[in-house]
Amino acid sequence: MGCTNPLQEGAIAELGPESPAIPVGPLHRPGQPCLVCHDGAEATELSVAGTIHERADSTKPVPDVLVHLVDARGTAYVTATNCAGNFFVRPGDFSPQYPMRVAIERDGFRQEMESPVNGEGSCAACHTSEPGPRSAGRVFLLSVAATLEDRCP
Amino acid sequence: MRRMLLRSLFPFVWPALAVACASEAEPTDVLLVPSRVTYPSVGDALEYRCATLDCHGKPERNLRLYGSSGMRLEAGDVPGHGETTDAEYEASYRSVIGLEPEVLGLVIAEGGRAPERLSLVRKARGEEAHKGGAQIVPGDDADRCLTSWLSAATDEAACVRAAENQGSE
Repeated sequence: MGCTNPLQEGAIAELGPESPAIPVGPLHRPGQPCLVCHDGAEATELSVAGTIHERADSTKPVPDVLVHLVDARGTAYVTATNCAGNFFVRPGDFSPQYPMRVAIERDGFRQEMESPVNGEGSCAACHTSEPGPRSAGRVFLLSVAATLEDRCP
Repeated sequence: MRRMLLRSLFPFVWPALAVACASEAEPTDVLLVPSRVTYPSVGDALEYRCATLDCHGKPERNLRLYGSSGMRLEAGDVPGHGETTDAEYEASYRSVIGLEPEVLGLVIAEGGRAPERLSLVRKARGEEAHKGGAQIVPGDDADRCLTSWLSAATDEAACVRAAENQGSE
């Protein structure tokens, strides 16, 4: 009989069911804390993952955003978001030593995270959808009036 | 006869009245704490190292730290906006001095000698199991800021440098 982790099971249950319109895979569950499941046991292990939205008050995802990660060793890694706005990093490609600095950019627009990430690989663990005393809100690219080319079907 | 009885009771009644009216005794063994006045410099130096939302900027942590880039105290404040408020410095200060009050009092009483007696220092230096690993190095600006605060001689310049160089060393 295997062991279970009731805390993780509770956290997964809180995320709710999959959207029936989106198969399980790289496009699923945008905006959710990916590493709750993606720990190598429940689902494919990821070291860093998240979702980039167009604006702070918008759920519209932005594809093709370059996500720049630089860890405490100075090791840099760049990945990009898909059509769900999701990006993810596998440990074999990059396992950051914290603290890790993060910046995102596309089409000349750039955002740098003010504080470093000190140990949490899921953006949405801190960046929940609604801003409040414990969340800076969604990760977003645009803070000025602008229109991005829509590159996804 | 009645007057004689009252007069004979007087020596016993007066002390009883005096005790009833005396002010409450204050404890004499008050625990010593580091400066609240200079804490904001220390708090700023530790903010990005310790108080991010994924570390001690979480309400479930024993050492709960507040700051403008991390957990906010007021419902209307959001991380990444505005400055750290005095109420947030106060809450973080209370959190820091409340961790190990008796050991902290001992370190303060001895002028900051052997600060590694505190979990706060050992964990920050990575000398004790700490999920966040080593966030300060003995002798660096952040370490000097913290330990000088514990010795009642806060090295403000080290604190400022530590605050400016957070996460970018």
